Amino acid sequence: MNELARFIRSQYAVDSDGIFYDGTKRYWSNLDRAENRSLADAVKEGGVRQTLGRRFPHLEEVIYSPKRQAGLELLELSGDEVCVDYGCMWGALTLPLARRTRFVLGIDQTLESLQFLKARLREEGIDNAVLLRADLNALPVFPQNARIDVALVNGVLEWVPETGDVELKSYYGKPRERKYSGTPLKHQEAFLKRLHENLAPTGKLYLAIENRYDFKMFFGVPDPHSNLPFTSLLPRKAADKISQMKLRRPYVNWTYSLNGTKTLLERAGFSKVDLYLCFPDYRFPEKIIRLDRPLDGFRPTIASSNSKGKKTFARLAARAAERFFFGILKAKALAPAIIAIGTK
Amino acid sequence: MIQELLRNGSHFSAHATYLAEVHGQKKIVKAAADPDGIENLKREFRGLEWYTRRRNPTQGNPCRIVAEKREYLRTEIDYVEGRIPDCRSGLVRSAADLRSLISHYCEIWPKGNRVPLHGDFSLGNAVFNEKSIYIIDWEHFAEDAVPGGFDVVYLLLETLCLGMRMRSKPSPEEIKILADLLAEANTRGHLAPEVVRSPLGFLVGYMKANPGFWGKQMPKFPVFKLSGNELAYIDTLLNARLSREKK
Repeated sequence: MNELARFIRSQYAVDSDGIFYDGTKRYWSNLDRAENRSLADAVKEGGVRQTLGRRFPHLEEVIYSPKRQAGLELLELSGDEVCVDYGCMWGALTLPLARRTRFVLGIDQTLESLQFLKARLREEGIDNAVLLRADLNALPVFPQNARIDVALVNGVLEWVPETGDVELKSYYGKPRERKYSGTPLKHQEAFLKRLHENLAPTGKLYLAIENRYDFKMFFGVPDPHSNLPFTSLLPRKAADKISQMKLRRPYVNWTYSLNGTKTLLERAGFSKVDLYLCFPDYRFPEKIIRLDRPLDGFRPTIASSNSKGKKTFARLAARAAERFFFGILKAKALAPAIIAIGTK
Repeated sequence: MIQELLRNGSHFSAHATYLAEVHGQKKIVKAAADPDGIENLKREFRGLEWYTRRRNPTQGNPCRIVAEKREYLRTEIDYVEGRIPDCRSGLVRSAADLRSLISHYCEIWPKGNRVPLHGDFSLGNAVFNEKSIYIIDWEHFAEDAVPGGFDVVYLLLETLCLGMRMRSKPSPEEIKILADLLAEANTRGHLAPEVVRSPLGFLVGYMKANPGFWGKQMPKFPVFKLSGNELAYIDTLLNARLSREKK
């Protein structure tokens, strides 16, 4: 057993499913609680993928697609790493990481997601992963001998300032008054500083996040975090006002530009930050390219057909815009998403 | 260090392809984490081993397995500089490249009824440089799997189908070029008798009967664009030409 696993066992209680916990009751999921509970219960008996495909077919690709793990190669893993997947949810990257490395600790605040992931790990015979239900903002400093080699923060940093529960559908739709202390930046910095502290001297961070200046945002495509147009682009105060008006809460899901992401990581203590542009998004990347490489020969990455195989005007227009911004203008600053590899 | 993700799980296989720089040298890195993808990469390793030996018996395999776990495989392949033709240009515009590539096939491949299969012998998988032609992407490789000339027919049919774009029938000029190029391979003795009898029909029938070489995405291959009747019609013309030349 490695030192991180030993530390988790010594610090946290464990439930009957083998999931460690710190007492948090928080919730974040694309599914609402009832749906997520029924899914977690249904997969306990096995047949995880089939059950998911039957009940929530739209999630099968989100969780199982081999495309999702393409970014992990940027970490240049040796196979002997001890890793933490911060905000692991249903394990889209936890399992691929476990298959490539020595040990993975998956941390999430949502019990139902972890129960689903536990069933997946069991079914797929992965025995080098441990799950912890904990508040990402209240994680301890790991002891010196349990410092980690890889920290994965995939689509999570922008949610760190959201200290309330999130059932994504109602989070988007129903205005509900929420109050927050401190700025989103303060929460994100504190999270990254703690994470940085927990890395071994040669440890690396894998951060995947939307670009604040994603070219689609200029066309009024809703911000994927607030579901409101233009909120990522506007000055933070203006975005706050719009969010207060429409959703009765401030705009907390801060994303950053390429420079902003680098600065954020440097302020958290990372000595080296390598930036990559990611198309058409970081979840299902078709193209990832180092910031310093030319965009010569760029071809659109947004699929021309939707999931039903039909070509839509919106998709064709988005492809044309992609061709214009990146094939012709080479406007790297407007890339849809960013992957940053931070070295301690 | 990885420079770029070039391809992610598309192009008929379940692995990702990257451009990397290792000790100042350009490399192609491929990674797979599912059984199909791993099988593809292992086939490619064997394919490049065979190909390199045929090109130059003293040269080592340019493909190396750099990480292997129960459900994960990563390979690193020496990068070859050169021009990769556009496989969508069609038979007419690509005739010269096709002729060179078929000539390269005849130099490398043995003759016979059972020869190695590349499986995606396409213009898009050929690097042309000043010195020579280099075939890449050996993910469907199988030793002694197909009758001689199989990959040549695949190359020509794929170029024809991709070049037709929205058209449903090839032009007389395209059929003439197809026949000319096929006749060149035949003259050099590289087409097995069953391939000569019905080049396109045999190819399509063989692929449908042996999906294991190509994987789940095979039905999407461009070579399946033409109808059975169309294939039979073109085959009649090709067979007449090939038989005539043999006499």
